[in-house]
Amino acid sequence: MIAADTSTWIAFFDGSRGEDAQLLDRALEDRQVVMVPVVLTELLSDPKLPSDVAETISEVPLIEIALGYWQRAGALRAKVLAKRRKARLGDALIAQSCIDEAGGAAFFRRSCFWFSVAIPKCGLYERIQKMSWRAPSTSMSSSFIHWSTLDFGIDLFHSDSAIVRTSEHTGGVCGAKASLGDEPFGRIQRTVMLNSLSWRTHDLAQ
Amino acid sequence: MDTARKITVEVPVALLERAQQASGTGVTQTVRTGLQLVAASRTYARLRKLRGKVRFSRRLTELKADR
Repeated sequence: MIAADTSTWIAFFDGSRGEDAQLLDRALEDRQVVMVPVVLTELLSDPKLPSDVAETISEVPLIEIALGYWQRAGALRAKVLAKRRKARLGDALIAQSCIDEAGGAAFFRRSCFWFSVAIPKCGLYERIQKMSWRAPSTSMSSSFIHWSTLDFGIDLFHSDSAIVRTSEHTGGVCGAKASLGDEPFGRIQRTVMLNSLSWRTHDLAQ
Repeated sequence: MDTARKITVEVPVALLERAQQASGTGVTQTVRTGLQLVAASRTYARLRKLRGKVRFSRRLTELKADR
């Protein structure tokens, strides 16, 4: 599933031809979009938003707040701050929602590129650093993932997941959460990387 | 969830397995997700029609400052 940041939704409604708005349009066409609660709140905070638009936005499937969400979001933010990285409250809440989303939720936004990846414990940090990211080339609905060449860093790790964020200069547009198979560094399952135009499987063992 | 209704449905085993594999969750969550997507299908179409037609009064800079 795919979740968009408030900035991307606004750009989409505004008719922007930016990559993130186009990706959101395709995701809507593919019926793959879910709404992050914090993003919904931000969108509905516009005092001049027409009521019919607000109603339609509110009908997008919402990522449920799972038990322990607030604690996990706090721990997540603490980990990011411990690494002396910026971790605004809203961003931490959004990130935790995407991590919690059943099956994984890709997330894209205007200002930077970040995504979460469910990975098995340690050791992957170095592997991710060495990964070559290639531009996607197939349709978004494909179940495969292709990585593109980006300069990125890892903000934090959970025991089984990580938030990865590229540098701001990429002007990135998306994010992803992918689950790995049971075997360490196995093939990524259930994609969700939205970078430019496609998805492919990437075998982390390579 | 305000209210919930317990239902019994017959579904093809293979379809359920594939759906569960895709969602990575149990039966209940998989069925919920499927129902949500069906219920939202018209919403997605309506949202696509709204593209380029809604101007938010709050700009991105204001949003950033807010966070």
